[in-house]
Formats: sequence, C-alpha cells, structure tokens
Amino acid sequence: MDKNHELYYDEISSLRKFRSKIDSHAVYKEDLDDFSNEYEELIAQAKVITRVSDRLQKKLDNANIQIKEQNDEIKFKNIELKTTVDQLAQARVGRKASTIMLSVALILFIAEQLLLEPWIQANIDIPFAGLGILAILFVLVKVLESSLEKYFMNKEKKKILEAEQKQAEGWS
Amino acid sequence: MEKIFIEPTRTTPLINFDPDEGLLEMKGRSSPENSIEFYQKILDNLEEYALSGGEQFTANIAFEYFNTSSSKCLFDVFKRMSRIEDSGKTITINWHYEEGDDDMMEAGEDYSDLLDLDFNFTEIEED
Repeated sequence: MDKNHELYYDEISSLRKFRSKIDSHAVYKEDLDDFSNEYEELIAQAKVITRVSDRLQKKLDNANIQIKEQNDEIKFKNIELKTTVDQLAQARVGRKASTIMLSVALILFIAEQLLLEPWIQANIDIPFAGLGILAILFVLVKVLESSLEKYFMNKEKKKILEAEQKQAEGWS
Repeated sequence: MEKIFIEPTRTTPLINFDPDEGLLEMKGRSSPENSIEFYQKILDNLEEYALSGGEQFTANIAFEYFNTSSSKCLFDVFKRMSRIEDSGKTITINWHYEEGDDDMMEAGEDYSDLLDLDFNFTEIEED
C-alpha cells in the first residue's frame, strides 16, 4: 500500500480519477452519481470535522482561560505571601536590631564619656567638640541599625521561606 | 497485518493494535506534527483487517483532546471500521470520555451519526 498518503488522500484520488474521465470524454451517468455521492459524503465529513474541531477548540480555549485564571491567582497569592513574609520578618527583626543597636549606642556613649571626653577636654580646644562627636556617633549608629536590620531581614525571610517550602513538601 | 504498539507522548496517543485479538486501543492526546503519517499504519492495518481479520473487532477509544487533522484521521479510522462491519464482522466501539467532558462525548456522537456506527459511551473518572 502507498505509505506516502496525504490528508484527504482518498478524496483527492477520486477527484483525479473523475477529472481523467472528463479529459477522456468517458463520463457516464454512473460516474456522475458516484462523484456526487462522494461529494455529498465529503460535505458531511467537512461538517462533522468542523463541528468536532470547534468543540475541541472551545475545550482548549476554556482550558487556557482556566490556566490564565490560575496564573493570576498564583501571582496574587505570591504577592500576598511576600507581603506576609516581609511583615513577619520585619516584626521579628525590628526589635532584635533595635536592642542590639541600643546596647552598642550605650557602650559607645559610656566609652565616649569615660575615655574620649576627658581626652578631648585636655587636648582639643574646640567648643562643643564632644557634642559633635556624639552627633557623629548617633548618625553612625542609625546607619548601622538600618544595615543590621536589612541583614537580619534577609536572613529571616530566607528562614521563613525555607520553613514554608518544607511545610509544602510535607503536604505533597 | 502486524501488532502495533506506540507509547503515548505529549502530542500523540497510546496506540495498541492487536489483530489476533481483534483489538484497537487509542488513548490520550492527539496533535501530532503530521497526523496522517502517524495514523497511516493503523489505517492500512484496519483496511487489511476488513479483508482478512477475525470475526470480532473491539475498539476502545479514550481521547482527552485531538486537533483538526487528527479529527479527519479519526474519521478515516472509523470509516475503516465501518468497512469491517460491512464485511460481516461484529464490531464494538467503546468511546470513553472524562467525567463532565460533554464536548468529547458529543464528538463521539458526531462520528457515530455520520458513519452510522454504534458507539458505547462510557464516562471515566479524571486521572
């Protein structure tokens, strides 16, 4: 059998046969009947194939809409999760960073008062030099506090996400 | 006539044709690059079955989806089955569709009506 068939091979083959009969002027009523029957069947076939395809196209469209809706929902849930993780991390980290920086600030203040202040009074003749140094220390502490908070936040977020992932793996 | 077994892929269905048992199974999704190339072997074997196959023939069909060119090939497959029936053999066609998949059920009804073949419709649970 011919292994190189194309789609609608039988129908094309019938058409070729009929055309060759026309060319040879050997068309009988029987041939016309056969050809019109085949044509009728082809129309019925086309109708069914179109109907079936339309239905399955609709099925595919619905599936695509569903996927899109699910994607949108996942995106929304991701945003929600990120916000919750941020809030949770902020709550856990904020206090920790403030406590550390308050302790550091206190140590620096005491060190400044005990060690640096007497030295400044003895060696530097600039008014309010001690206060200036305290102001610099204050700014430094604030900068350090934000960096420390950022560092702890990233660490905490990683921890929360790992815990979430473990929990999700446990469910699946 | 030869046995045909084709593992399913993302775009082609599982095919199991056993001429000794008089059985054809087609299951899964069908949207191959070249549908006629994929179905040709089945069409040729069914043609041969009508001439020299056993007295009983059963087809179990369970599609999730098929594209337009596959729907034409399926029409040709059922046409061959119709020829098997015309040759005096007993033919059973089981058309399975997923629960609630009315589109797929109606697609089976369309083929059944057009070719005047009896289909047994069975709803199956989703995987």
